[in-house]
Amino acid sequence: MNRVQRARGINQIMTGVFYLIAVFFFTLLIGFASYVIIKGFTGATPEMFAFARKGSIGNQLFNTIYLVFISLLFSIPLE
Amino acid sequence: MYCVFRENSEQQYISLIKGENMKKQNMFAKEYAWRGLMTAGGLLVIAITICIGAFLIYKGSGTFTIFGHSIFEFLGSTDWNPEDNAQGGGTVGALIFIVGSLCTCGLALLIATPFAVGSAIFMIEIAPKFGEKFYRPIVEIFAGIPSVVYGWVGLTVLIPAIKKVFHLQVGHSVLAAGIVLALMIFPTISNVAADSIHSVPKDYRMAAYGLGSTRWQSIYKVVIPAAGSGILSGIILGLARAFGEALAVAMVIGQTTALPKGLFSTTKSLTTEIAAQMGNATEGGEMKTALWTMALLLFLLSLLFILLIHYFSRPKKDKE
Repeated sequence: MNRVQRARGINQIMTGVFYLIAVFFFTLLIGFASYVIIKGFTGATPEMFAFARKGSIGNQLFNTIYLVFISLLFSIPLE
Repeated sequence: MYCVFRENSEQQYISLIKGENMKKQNMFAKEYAWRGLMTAGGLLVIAITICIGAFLIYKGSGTFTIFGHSIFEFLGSTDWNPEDNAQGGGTVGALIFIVGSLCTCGLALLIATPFAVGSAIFMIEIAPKFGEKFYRPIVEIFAGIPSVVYGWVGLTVLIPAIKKVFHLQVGHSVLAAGIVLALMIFPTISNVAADSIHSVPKDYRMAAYGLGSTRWQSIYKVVIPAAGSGILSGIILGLARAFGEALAVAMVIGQTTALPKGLFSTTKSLTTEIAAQMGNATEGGEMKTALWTMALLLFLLSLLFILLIHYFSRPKKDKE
């Protein structure tokens, strides 16, 4: 096997390796996202988003957005 | 202004000029006011940063000045038993947490770097169309996912899997923390590396092809050396993110105050110990002061990482 053939062979192997890495992470990321999304939607019920004291996340959801709003209020002028 | 040169009377002309001057003055006033506001904002940000640093140094040095521990005890001893009162007398060896942090972050880097650089090369060099259209946006989305989601998925998916595959009693381990962190820092490294590979001039590749090299030869002999400093700053950026991560690590590392004996042992890291103990330590006590010192250590480390990034991404002089 001469040098040119070897270089071509290595080139093809490395291309394959990069494809493998990309495919692996592509499926991993898609799988991760779909796992979270599917689990999240199957577990969700309309009552969850109420603002009751127990068994609902309405307050937490509101607080998160409220905090983001307040921090933007400070950070945008400073930017 | 040009309307002035029509047949206006002298009076009108003068009043127009006056109005123009007023407007001009007004604009200058606005210009200076806004510039002052911008300067004040910038100075405030700088002042806040310096204040945070000074506050951390003030609080963190208490371990050495008030409670009289040596810096070698703090950095080199595994004996972590600080008293939760202002009298002190406990021990503040933080080596367990330092080693825990280094182990998990090192492992995460070891896992993430080859994959991240590989996928950066894939999306720029090998499949640019697919890379720019699909792969990169998806990777970018993952840079923005909150760490608690990573921790939660690690806790519910990864830990049972590790338990099953390696036949362990507990799945919480350094390995799990390393994998979760690797997944977290993968997008960061990949994005920065892809940017720096993208900014390598196209002529370099064409020259390499012209000399008869294959694509792989042009990648590892020309593109990677040319983009090396950018890839390195990406890796350090990822390391800094991994170092500062508390929540995701705390969920999967098992929180045991012991040095890790291997990949599968549980331990603690700097951030998780601070997060776990901050709430119930007495203000001014030895425990809280030691935690402040650990926070100071984290601050200094992140400062070091930032300095390293600046060092690696500084504009290079042209070599002959």
